[in-house]
Amino acid sequence: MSDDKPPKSRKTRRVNASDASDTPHNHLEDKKNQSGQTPTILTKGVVVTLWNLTKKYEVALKEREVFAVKESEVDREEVADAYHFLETPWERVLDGRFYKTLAMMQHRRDAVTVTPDTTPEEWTALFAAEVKRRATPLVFLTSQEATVPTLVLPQEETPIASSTPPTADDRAAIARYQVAFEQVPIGKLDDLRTRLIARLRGKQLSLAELSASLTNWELDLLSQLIRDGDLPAVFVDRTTIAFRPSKRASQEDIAFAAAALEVKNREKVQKT
Amino acid sequence: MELEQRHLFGQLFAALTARHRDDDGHLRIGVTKQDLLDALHTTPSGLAQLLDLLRQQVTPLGLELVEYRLGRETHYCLRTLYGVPSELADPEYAVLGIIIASMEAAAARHRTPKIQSKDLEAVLVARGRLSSYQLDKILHRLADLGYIIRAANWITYGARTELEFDEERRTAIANAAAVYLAGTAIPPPDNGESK
Repeated sequence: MSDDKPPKSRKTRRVNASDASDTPHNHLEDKKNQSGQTPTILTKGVVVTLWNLTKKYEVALKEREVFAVKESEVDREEVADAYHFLETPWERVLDGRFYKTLAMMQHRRDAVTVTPDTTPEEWTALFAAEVKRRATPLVFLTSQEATVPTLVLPQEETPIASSTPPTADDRAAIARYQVAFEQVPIGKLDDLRTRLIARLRGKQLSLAELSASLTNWELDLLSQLIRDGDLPAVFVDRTTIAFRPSKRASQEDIAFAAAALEVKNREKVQKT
Repeated sequence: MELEQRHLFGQLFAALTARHRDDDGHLRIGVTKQDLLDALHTTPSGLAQLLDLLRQQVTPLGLELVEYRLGRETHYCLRTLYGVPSELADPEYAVLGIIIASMEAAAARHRTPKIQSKDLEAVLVARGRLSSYQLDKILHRLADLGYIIRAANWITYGARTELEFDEERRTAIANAAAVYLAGTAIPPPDNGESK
């Protein structure tokens, strides 16, 4: 069973594996290669001891373990005179690293001693209560702050906020993608239908002419009229459409075709 | 009370409990004296009389009228007399408590107390009480609600902290923090003298 494995050995293996390129053995090898001298046994021993102790504390901090003061003191005394034997920057950094972990362990020990069995969340709640009970909060009835600036509708030519004036390309893009929101009252629809039929009946128009002469809502209406057979129409060729002079649909009109027209005429209907 | 006066108090109450942001994005609490004078078409003595009347009205509700100065302007706002639920959650109160404790320590040395966020990190993040991200988020919210003002790495009191916690309460919180943080010396602030 995996639970039977001693946790200590697992920890040690993991730490060593992650720092394989930075072990004291590698460092001592490098030192030997560079200077040509074999490090003394004393230096070797000091470096390895420092390394082991540093790792011991780093792992303990990571695992939230706390050592007794006595144990930390023994560890500290063991390497207290180590600085006499440290030569390279790597070794001095290791020394600093050890003292840093030692100090952090002291911090941890203090926190645990002062508030035994208190998780950080509990500590936060307890201290928050101390602050909270001394507060005399201000009263705000209006929960909404006026943080949103007053909305200003963009001008016709500048729908996007920009510090530079729009170029010709921008204007073309705006004109192409702008959607005109028009409202046509329902009561007026019959009247508009009649007028549209009167305008188009019996005429033969190219799609370009048609889109130039009609507005958005007129095109919508035209689709409905053609669909309902009120204004029969046929394609003469691929770009020309002919509207029948009479309402009566003949057999050849029942050939459905669709043409998507882009509105060029931007006349707007007055809101009523 | 006359109907007209009751209407006036209603509007005054709404103005005193309003808040908005100024051009710098700082929270402004309540209403300025000048705005009240302009809106009510009254003299300073007339306004003082009116506010006295309002004070009598709100005190039984557990509220008090507060007058404070911010820059050159006098502001008025309403404050509760007792601890009531506020906008802050527990971790935010805890961080505010640590800020107050650090500020009080800094105030003993400097005329304009200010601390650095790294001072808070030493107490809260290094001890595993909050993550660095949580602390940053809380500081952001405290600044948003007008409790603190953040400029670069420096943190100073916002008007709201001083209004909600008077000097006596701030000292008491600093003492409580000392007990709760026993063993953790709040690092002395480095107010840029070394630069």
